[in-house]
Amino acid sequence: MSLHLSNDQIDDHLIGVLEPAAAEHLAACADCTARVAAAAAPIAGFVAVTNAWSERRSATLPLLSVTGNAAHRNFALRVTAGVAATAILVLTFAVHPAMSPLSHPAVATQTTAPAPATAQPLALTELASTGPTETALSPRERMLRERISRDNQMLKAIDSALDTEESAASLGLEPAGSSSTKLQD
Amino acid sequence: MQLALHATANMTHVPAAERTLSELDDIDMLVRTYRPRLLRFVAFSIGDPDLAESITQDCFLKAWNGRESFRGDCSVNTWLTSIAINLVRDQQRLQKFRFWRQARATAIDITDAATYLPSGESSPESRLLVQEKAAQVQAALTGLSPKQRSIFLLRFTEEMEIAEIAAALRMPVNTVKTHLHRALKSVRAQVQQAQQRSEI
Repeated sequence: MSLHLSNDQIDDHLIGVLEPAAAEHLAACADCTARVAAAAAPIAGFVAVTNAWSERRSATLPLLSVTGNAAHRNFALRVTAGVAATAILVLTFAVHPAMSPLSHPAVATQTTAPAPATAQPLALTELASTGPTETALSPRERMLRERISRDNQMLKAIDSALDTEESAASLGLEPAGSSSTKLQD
Repeated sequence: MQLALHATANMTHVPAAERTLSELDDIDMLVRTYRPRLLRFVAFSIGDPDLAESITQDCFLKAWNGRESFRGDCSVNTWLTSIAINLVRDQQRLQKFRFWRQARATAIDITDAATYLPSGESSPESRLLVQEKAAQVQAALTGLSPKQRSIFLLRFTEEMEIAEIAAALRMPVNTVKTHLHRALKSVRAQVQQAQQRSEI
């Protein structure tokens, strides 16, 4: 093949479908090689730039977001597992009063006021109040009752702590409705 | 006969399938390996890097969720690319009329992208030249139809074979070739015009 490559053949070469005869000519012809190189240069530049851009951009993206979202597929399963874990925790605290967070001194000190009598270990009060009718409840209902009861007790404890004169005084505040509204130094 | 064929097929496909299935199970490795190329393809297909990140993310999620359906009859790269193509197509359908207007607002700045080029042995002049040519190709790509642009990117930036592109797009090989010829002709013509303008 003595004729130089046409533009279509140059395109063929860039695409990778150049006929063998034309490829032979290209290998032997410096002029055609230069034309092919000139045609390929912009694309090669584009590829280099986009490659560098995507590598850098991808490297800055977190992997965990994909991993975390991938688990989204089993969302229902995870919710079930979470509920089961919560149930186990609640039952554990109910059976072993010493493990109750409310009975733990470290937790008790987190409240702003001394824990009143209502903040005694939840499990003890609940177990004491458990009558024959409550034993007939399903574990789920029992768990829910315990949780509600515990929340109520916690709220009561917080209310009573906030209502005491000592806590207000310890914070340097005066009771609401007081005539004197001046701040103390 | 059928059993024999089935057995032969199993013999030839089992190692690849096992390999690819284990590849698909390791989501972190999958992301590390394929995200740059998928991100590049999506970003330069739609012209919006932020949206491209989101689509690439969706692509991996879909792949992860649907990994059981991967039969191993094509490479993982081809499979992921076909998912990305569908997501890009969906996106383009959603924003049919305001797509490019919006894309231009957050378009990839090729000048900025060129700063990521490894300095290596290239001189500042040659880097500028590369940057200029890349910008010309990017501008030419915006003038292509979405299908031509996708095929151009798959062939030249992703370096996929024509048969692979045809498989990913579920398109006959000859149709892919035709689109590729038209896209290349258009890009080359526009780049040539841009070069002539810059010389004047």
